[in-house]
Amino acid sequence: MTYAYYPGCSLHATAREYDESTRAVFENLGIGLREIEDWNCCGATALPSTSYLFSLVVPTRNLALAEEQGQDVAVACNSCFVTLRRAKSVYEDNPVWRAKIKEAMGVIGKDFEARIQIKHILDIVVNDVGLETIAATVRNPLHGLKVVPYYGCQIARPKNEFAHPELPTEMDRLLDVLGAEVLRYDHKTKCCGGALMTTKPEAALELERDLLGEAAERGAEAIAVSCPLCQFNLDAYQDKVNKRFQTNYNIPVIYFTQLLGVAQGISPKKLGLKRNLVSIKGLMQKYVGEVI
Amino acid sequence: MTGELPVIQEASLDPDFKRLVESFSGAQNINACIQCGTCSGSCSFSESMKHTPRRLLEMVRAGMREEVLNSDTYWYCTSCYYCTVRCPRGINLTEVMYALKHVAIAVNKDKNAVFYDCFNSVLQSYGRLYENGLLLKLALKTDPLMLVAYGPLGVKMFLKGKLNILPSRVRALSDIRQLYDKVGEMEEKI
Repeated sequence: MTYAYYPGCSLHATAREYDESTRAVFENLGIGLREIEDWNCCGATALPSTSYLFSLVVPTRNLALAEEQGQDVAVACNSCFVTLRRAKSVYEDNPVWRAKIKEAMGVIGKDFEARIQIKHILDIVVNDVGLETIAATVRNPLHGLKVVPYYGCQIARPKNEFAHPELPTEMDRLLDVLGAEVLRYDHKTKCCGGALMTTKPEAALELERDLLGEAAERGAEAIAVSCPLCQFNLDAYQDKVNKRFQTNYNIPVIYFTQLLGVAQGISPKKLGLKRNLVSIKGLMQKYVGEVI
Repeated sequence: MTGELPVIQEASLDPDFKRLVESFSGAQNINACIQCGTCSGSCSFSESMKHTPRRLLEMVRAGMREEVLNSDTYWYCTSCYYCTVRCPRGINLTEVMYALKHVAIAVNKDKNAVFYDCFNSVLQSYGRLYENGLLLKLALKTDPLMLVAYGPLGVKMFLKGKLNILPSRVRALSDIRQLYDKVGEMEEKI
């Protein structure tokens, strides 16, 4: 099985470790990822503001390229995931806007017929590969590492075939199979603030405090994530939260693919374990005896 | 959000405003709103907004064009879709907010509007996001001191190999430009 892989901009920059660990884990599972040739930015949630129609055709170009490759799309970033799916669902459900999308795509000589599926890599790992198969690949169990699963908002909403919109369980079950102690986390699908961290930091920092606060209260030693925006906001701004609210959080924020890779015994270098800003060195030594 | 309800003169209302918003995909059934407030109760940012989502929706229906275009509700919207999945009337509030952002961006100078404008221009230049370019543009248009504030984080990111000094570009950049021009022509007709 090979997917058309859409890394998106973050995975080539601020979330490089998500890209590295995704590729390593998929290689280990024997699933092919063929990067979509000459993909462009999906436009995320920013583009509909400046141009509504543009925000539908920009992701559609990527989908048309994947369709030319003849493969379903695998996406790691929650925001890319929802953006690509939004374009496809407008195309499928709304004839007026489908006609507009088609007309615009005509100028670059590309057509999209909505024949392919768009899947999140968490869905592929948990549902397509399956947890039994994953369990058989675990070589270094996580030995009770206390972790909260933080899904963020756009992996589950507005709707898709795999995750419950408010209380998904996919990452919980995966981490459990890896040997972690998965703690309850009521904020699991709350928003991380996204780009508001740049434009309205007062409001976004409060959100971050709530997210980190619940994790700390539950005794989490790590927060597992599936989205580069969630990871960045919680990881890169943790010291700002501490400064503003006189807290003392020091909780590593780790991609689920990194934890999966560690459990599978993939070398730390291939998983980008040194790139997380809040260091995960101590945790790795404590639980898997791994020196990174 | 507190305060007295404003007195609205009927002559200042724009009955076509609601129709304009409804012309966007996904924003059609705002008449179904029963003003229950589930959206406002679900939103992470209701407390920071001038108008809660429930109130803003009623303002759109009433045709309070000026007030809506000068609000900041939609600039707080991060598209988390909580309101959308919880609305008992099936209104896609997130798409309504997108439509309002699109209509308001030309006149509303909220920092988030400027951010999105910069994002769009970076996308047109490279076809991909370029964080340094985006931050630089935003700082120059809003607050140059932002660059100083971001300095230490930028250094950390660079040392972790998470910051691209130069932008990554789409090879077929002409695709993006052609699409943008074409969409520009088509949107004049909306």
